Amino acid sequence: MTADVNPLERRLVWTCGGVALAATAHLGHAPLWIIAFLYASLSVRVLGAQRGWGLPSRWTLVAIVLLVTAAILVSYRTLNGLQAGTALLVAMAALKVQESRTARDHAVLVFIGYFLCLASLLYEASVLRLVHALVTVWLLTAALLGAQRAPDAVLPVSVSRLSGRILALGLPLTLILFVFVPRLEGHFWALPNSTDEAKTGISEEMTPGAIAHLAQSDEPAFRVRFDGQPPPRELRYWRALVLEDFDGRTWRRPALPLGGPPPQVIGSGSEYHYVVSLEPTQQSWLPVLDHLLAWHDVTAQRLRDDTLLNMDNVSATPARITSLTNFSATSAPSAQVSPETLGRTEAARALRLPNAVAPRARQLAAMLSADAPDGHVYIDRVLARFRAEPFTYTLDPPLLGKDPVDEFLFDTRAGFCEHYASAFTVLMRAAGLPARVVIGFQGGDPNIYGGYLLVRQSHAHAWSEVWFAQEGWVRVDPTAAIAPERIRSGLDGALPLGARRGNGLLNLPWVLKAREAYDAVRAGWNQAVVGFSSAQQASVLDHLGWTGSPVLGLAVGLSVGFAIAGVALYALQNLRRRGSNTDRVTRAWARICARLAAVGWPRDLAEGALDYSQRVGRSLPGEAVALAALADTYMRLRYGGNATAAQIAAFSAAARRYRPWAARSALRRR
Amino acid sequence: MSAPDAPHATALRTRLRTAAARRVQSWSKRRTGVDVSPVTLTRRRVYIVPTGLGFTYAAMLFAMLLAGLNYGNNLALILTFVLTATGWVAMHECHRNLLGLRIVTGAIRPPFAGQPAEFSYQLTDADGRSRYDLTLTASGAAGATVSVAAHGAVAVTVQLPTRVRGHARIDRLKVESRFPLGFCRAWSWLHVEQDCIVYPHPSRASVPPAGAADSEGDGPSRPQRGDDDWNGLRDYQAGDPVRRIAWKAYARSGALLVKELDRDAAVPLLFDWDTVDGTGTEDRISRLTRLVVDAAARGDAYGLRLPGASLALGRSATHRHQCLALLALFRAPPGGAA
Repeated sequence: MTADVNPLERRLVWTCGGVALAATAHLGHAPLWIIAFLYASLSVRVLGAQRGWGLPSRWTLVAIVLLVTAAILVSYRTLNGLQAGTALLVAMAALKVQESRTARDHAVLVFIGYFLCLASLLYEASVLRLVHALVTVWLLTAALLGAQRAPDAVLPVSVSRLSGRILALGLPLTLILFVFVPRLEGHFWALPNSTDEAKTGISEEMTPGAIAHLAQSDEPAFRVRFDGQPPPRELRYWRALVLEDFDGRTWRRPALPLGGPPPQVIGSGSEYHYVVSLEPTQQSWLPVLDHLLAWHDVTAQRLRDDTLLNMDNVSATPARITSLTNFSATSAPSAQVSPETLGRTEAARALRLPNAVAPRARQLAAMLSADAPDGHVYIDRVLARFRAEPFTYTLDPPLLGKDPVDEFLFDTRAGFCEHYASAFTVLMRAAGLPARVVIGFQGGDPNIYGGYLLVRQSHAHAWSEVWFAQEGWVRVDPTAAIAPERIRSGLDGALPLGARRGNGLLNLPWVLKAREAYDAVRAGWNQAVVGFSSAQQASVLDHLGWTGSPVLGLAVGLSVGFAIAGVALYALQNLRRRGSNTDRVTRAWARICARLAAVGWPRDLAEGALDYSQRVGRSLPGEAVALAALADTYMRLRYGGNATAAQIAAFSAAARRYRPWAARSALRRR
Repeated sequence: MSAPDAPHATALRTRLRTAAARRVQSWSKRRTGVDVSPVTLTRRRVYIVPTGLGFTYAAMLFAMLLAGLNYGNNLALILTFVLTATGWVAMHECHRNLLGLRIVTGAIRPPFAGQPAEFSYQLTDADGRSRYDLTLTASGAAGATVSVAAHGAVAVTVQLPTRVRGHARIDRLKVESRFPLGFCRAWSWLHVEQDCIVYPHPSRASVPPAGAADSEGDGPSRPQRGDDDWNGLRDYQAGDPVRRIAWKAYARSGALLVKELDRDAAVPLLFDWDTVDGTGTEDRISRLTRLVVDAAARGDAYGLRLPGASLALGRSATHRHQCLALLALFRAPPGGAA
């Protein structure tokens, strides 16, 4: 590296490193080509800075800008929204670095890096991502610091340390802002449609046989905290969606009128009160236990008045759930609900079966229901048939062709909950019983550390409901007939040993415990941080004894908080630091001088250490020896070069111990 | 506004801006009065404003806040708040970078017209923290940027360009810093009112001391002798040429002595306004300046006679300064020379 290289070029490594780290957060979802483009651009620029290559001409850059923008447009068909916006940011960084010469260009790159961090958190609000973002911010701020230093400044301190110091000093204010900046109870603008980002195990329609492998995710779907004991596992049916329209292949959700009354419960099954903390689904259902009696919103976040219970005993929100959502509910899973009357249109919909669909299934239904006295007997016969025939439960079923119901029932006989629920419902309809498919979650793993029930994406399940005039809709789970372990002990229990998910290592008891503890931490983090909303702010104000309007309370909190943060900053700034070696030696000597000054022997401004110690020593022979030794050590360490840390520590300690006794007694005599 | 008005408008804007700047500066001067060295930068005299980059940063934070609130995403908000706090801390650090700094005005080296006048200052930290990237500027002078280590001191020289002889003045010194992140600019004005004499520009031609008013009249043809022809030692005075120091004597006795040459005593030079050649006041001043400078460099004793003022023979640095200052500030009597 030559001496005449612009110092900013040498500091470019920091800026490029920060941007590169910021982009790693987007490796999962941004198109790979654009990330590769960024990394290529950064490497070329850093290498070029070291080898003294020139920068591309303006026109080359304009051409590349047009090309990349067009490529992004082709990929996303828009430049709007989070995904396209992120891609655009990455492209901007890649191009900006090719024309960055001044400190201001560096600042622009750093700001792009900050935005990349923000975008990564908008994708997924997880602890890991936050940690990643904070580390990136630290590096980017160090880069900004380096770029802003005077061009000819040798950097006497590491910019990373200064950057860390600035971030640390900002913590009190960060906390104050987090607690007191008012949260929104809606949106400023509609969130871009992003159903393709949904990570839930549930989709709004169901096509058994269309996928050959059911991807299983252990990610949490929601967590439930019960007042008292949770219901037994076989009663943990969390309903999310009801699918009634069937076209022979796919079950769809009908356009239901929202706002039906909750069902009347007769008899008293045990009631359960619980609070659900739902991870964002990008969909609009709320998971509730069967026979919901009442619910209310805990966080007052998005659900307030616009969450509705529709007539199928399904809770739905008009807006999609895009952030952690908390609500409480009361259900009676084993209670009887009063018979509703099924309207003519509803009955027709629950019986509809396209004409050409499943001829063999219709024959089977006719055969089984021929001499059945009532629907319950027919249901038992169907389930008995499932058990008797060689049906198997598998997560890797064969693909199904033209008539999936018949093929499944009579040919492949292997599938998971969707196949069974679909086939069972078709058999019910074929026999003239109104039936429908319900999808949701079944089960939930208790977490002993957090005292809640964790329902994972892999708990997603599908079952059927059949309507009886005296009992209303009755839940029937055909999967339970094939694989009762699926219901009693979860998915793994239902699979043959070889097909169980995860390897043996993940199922070791202590690993399971650790994972449970980790999830408890995540749940706590969700409650305290991710789910912090205007309702929690209100309760904070309440704890602080504020009785006025919350808006005013937050304003007062912010102002007082700012003052407190200012005082904290002042205190933290003036904390004694270890400092550099020179600092420590100088400070130790200053301590000695201060001790002497306190007893009437101040050092003159222009007086060197040697002169000073000799002057004091001449007048106070009692101090002469000790002081001469200290002054000698000081000068050796300060100006002699290559002082070891141990020597400096010893000198510091000696300075701390030093008490000018002779000077003090001389003072007393005077 | 139509295009032809544009230069006019620019001029107006410049005038308004300088007028406003002058107002602010005189207000700040009224606050602190004329400063006497040493000056310690207190809260009262450190000003701070956001820079363009700072405003950009604020706009970025606002956009982040809107996004975080709209998505209801608390982690995005945490990031926004961390960055907000960073900006806020940076502002305080920027202010603190100047606070408590001690500035001592130092020596001023008078220049010859055309050379920059050098005003030196010492920046000292007494609070035990390093100060970074402090830029010192004075009106019209080239700035210098330095950093000061904790408990350390750094000498800075501000160079003020000069054109003509007379005075060079620094009314106001500005210490400025954008450290650490460039979001804010903190500065302090020191109303130091420093004055420096600007010597006249010595004429290029080496003028023979034609006007040397030695009574014997053999000035130019005076036999030149080498440095070895010395007739004694005397005490060193400031301004004596280094090559005439008697190093051997110094090695023996430890006292700084200089060799006294024969001609030192023998040939006094008196440079006279009336006898020096020249085409005008400035030309004569230039020539006289050259004579003084050369004589001083040789170590000769010399005197100066101008209309209305004269200086007796002398050899010291002070004498040289007095002569040059007299020339620097000389005003030709009306109708006098030329």
